[in-house]
Amino acid sequence: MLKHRWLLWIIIFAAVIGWALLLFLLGKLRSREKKLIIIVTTFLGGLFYVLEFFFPGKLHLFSWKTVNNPFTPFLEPLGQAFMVIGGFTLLLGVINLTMVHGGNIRKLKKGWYNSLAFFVAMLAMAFFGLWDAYGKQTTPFGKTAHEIYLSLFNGALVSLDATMFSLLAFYMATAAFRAFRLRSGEATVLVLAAFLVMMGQVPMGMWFTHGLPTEGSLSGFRTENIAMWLLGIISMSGLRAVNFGVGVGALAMSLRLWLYLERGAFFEQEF
Amino acid sequence: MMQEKRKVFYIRRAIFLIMAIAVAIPLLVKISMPIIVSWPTRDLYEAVEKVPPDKIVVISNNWAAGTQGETAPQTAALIYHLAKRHKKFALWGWNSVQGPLLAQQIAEPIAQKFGLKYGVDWVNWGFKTGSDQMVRAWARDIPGTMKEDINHTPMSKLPFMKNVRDHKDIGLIVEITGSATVGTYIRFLYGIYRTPIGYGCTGVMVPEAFPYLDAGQLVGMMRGLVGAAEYEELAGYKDGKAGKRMAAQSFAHMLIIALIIVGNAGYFIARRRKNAHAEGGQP
Repeated sequence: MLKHRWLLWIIIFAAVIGWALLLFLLGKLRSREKKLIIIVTTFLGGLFYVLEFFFPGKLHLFSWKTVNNPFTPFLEPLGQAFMVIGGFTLLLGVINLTMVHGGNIRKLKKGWYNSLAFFVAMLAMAFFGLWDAYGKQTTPFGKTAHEIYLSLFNGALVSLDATMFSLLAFYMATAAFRAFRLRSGEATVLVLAAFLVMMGQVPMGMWFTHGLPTEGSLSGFRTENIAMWLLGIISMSGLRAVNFGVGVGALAMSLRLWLYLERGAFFEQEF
Repeated sequence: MMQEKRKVFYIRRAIFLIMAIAVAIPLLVKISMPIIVSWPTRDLYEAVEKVPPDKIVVISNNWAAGTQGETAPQTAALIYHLAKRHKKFALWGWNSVQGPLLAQQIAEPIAQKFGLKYGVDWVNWGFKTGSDQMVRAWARDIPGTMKEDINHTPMSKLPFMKNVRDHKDIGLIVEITGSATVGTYIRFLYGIYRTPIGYGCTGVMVPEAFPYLDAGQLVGMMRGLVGAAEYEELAGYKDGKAGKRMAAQSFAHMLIIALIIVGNAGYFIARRRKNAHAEGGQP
């Protein structure tokens, strides 16, 4: 903890100036040098987490010396650094959206009023949200701001978000009517499995076999048990195989990215 | 061609209307249906029951309003169970800003009903950004990573945090989500520290979770809305919304099955007519 509060402000100011200077100097470098910095930084960043994970927590050397994992103490500061970087990405998104929608309004493109609605909604939500979080809520304006914030969040954002997802049910129903065709044996097996799983998930479907005993060999023919068997044995085996494949592929891709072995449009472009 | 397009237009709108009626009627008219509890939900319930009194349960709310039809009842049923058993719990989220806020709205009336005090019996750490690396740091130092709760109260001022330092003080983490976020906990909490992980997810994500359930990496799971209804049944939560919504989901499922049957019946009839016409047209 710092002894004097003003020291914190000096550190913040110095950090901002320092990073601005660093970015300015990085901008002056040639493309090859920038690429080299990216390669080295990526490698060191990945190397830290690899070493931290594989290095033992305590390493006993020669029976008289114990060494702790030297990388683990840096996990927490790095985790907090990632939280700060996450905050930067939020600002980046806002800047990008402002540029796009600001351009639409400035040039009066088709649908510019939608961009205007975007700015009104964003600024209103940001203002009342920030006031609710950090402003005085005991004043009359504070109480009004709180009510407006709740109306915007629960009444607008949550309701509209839920509405967008609710549309899926209707599109799924029409897709089921138009697209699910028994054109082959495999399609028939797929549809039959889908029927059984859907029926086994809801009480109305379970009602069809409610007369069967809940224990014993006949209980296996109850719709909910058939559905669980399909999900827990058949489907699970296939998905486990897929997960293995995806895991191995992700490991290979990660290694290629870490060691800068990947080639393609992004990796070949000039900075 | 125009006639065909018009036919498709009206058929689609008719299906939308039938679906709307099928879902609306059970929500307006009280239709109760018996709930049969499955083993993934029962396992999760028992895992919560087994949490020792000196440890907390962390409810990770990585869901948003779009999936609240399934995830909100799951959260409510779990919080009801924890409140009923007077187990300490903490809410937070790191993938969705809305999750912790919506969970707070669910938790407040339930906590009040059971006389739980905020800051003592339960807290909401709010939304923290940073994903995998932040979760790793959080597992090693919870107060240091969280800093303050959703109301900007410093961790040091919350009596709840008095004995909560790191992963060792967590008895169970239940991830409630509509996204593929449980992998972070499986990799960095269960994989390294063997912290028990429970799961509550939307119906479409259930098949992907079974490998983890079978391997023991997940102690139990609420499978979408039916899982929430089963959990309400186990916890004795009579005011829960999942049980009421199961009737609507039942009607919707049966309607989709009926539409598939009708659609295929039409397809086979049309194909037979086409074949008969083709045979009749041959010289």
